Amino acid sequence: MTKPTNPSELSPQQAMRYSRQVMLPALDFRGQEALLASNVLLIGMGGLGCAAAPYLVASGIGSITLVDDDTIDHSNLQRQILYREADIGQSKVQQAAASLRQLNSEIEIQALQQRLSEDDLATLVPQYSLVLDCTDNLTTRNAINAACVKAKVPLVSGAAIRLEGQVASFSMQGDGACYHCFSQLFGEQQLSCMEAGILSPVVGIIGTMQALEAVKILGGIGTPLYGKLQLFDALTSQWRQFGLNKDPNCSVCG
Amino acid sequence: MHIRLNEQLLQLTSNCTVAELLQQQQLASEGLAVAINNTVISKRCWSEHKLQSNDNVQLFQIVTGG
Repeated sequence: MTKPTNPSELSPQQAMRYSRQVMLPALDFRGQEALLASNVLLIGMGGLGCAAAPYLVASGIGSITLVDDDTIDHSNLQRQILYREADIGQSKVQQAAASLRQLNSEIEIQALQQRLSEDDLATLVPQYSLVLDCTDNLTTRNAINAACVKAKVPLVSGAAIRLEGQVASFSMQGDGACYHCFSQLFGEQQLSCMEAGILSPVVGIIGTMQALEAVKILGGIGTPLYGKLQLFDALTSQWRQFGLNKDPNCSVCG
Repeated sequence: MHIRLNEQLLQLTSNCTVAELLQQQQLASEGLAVAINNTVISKRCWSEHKLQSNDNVQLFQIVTGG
């Protein structure tokens, strides 16, 4: 592919490739160029990450780094749709990166097969335009949030278990709530998908909502779920939305 | 006074706090989150936040799986 002289401008091939998005007046060339200039840190390549990553890569974000230390287990195939039967035992991030490169070879895809420490997060997060939290436990979620607050990097948080899911976005510009304003005082005894179960499409719905939030924030369109917590109930197919206020005494952002 | 608790009308004798409501109704459980009139009430504020007449209280579980 020939690169345009101004790297922020779409090449003719890119204008064709992303034409169905560029034709949306809300996004236009400006929004697509902003997407192509972005870089995303996606932490957790389980069910949420497997749903979010293909839409981010297909929609033309500039680069993405996938983080997960896990390998693919037989029981993951029910909902982690980037992995194939032949991939069992392989690294999740390596397999996901290989699959995503076939989807869009223009995008820089990096795979980090590790569990990020707080120091790792503090070093990595400031290098990105946006972070997607697709992890499966509260301790990691709180650590990612703290790094995003410190670096003022927007965070899109998604979570799912059983027949329900939650999505929230945080601008991290100091004006609104952070994840910890909501999660403080909750303990880690929340059950994981391994213990409590998860209906396959539920993680897909929440993961793709995270991708949508990320594309909106990076492309500068619409109103992200800043200061809002969106709840999905798969049994009734109903969404609920609650306001999330900044806690002035929050130990992370207050 | 009356409030709505998870879409059910409930009569309360006094302006109790969120924490007292959960205790009275034996609802306090790990991972329980509370929204009043469509705004989440931080768990840190449950013991101070007094319920008002006609408040719409919705309970849900914090979800952290992925």
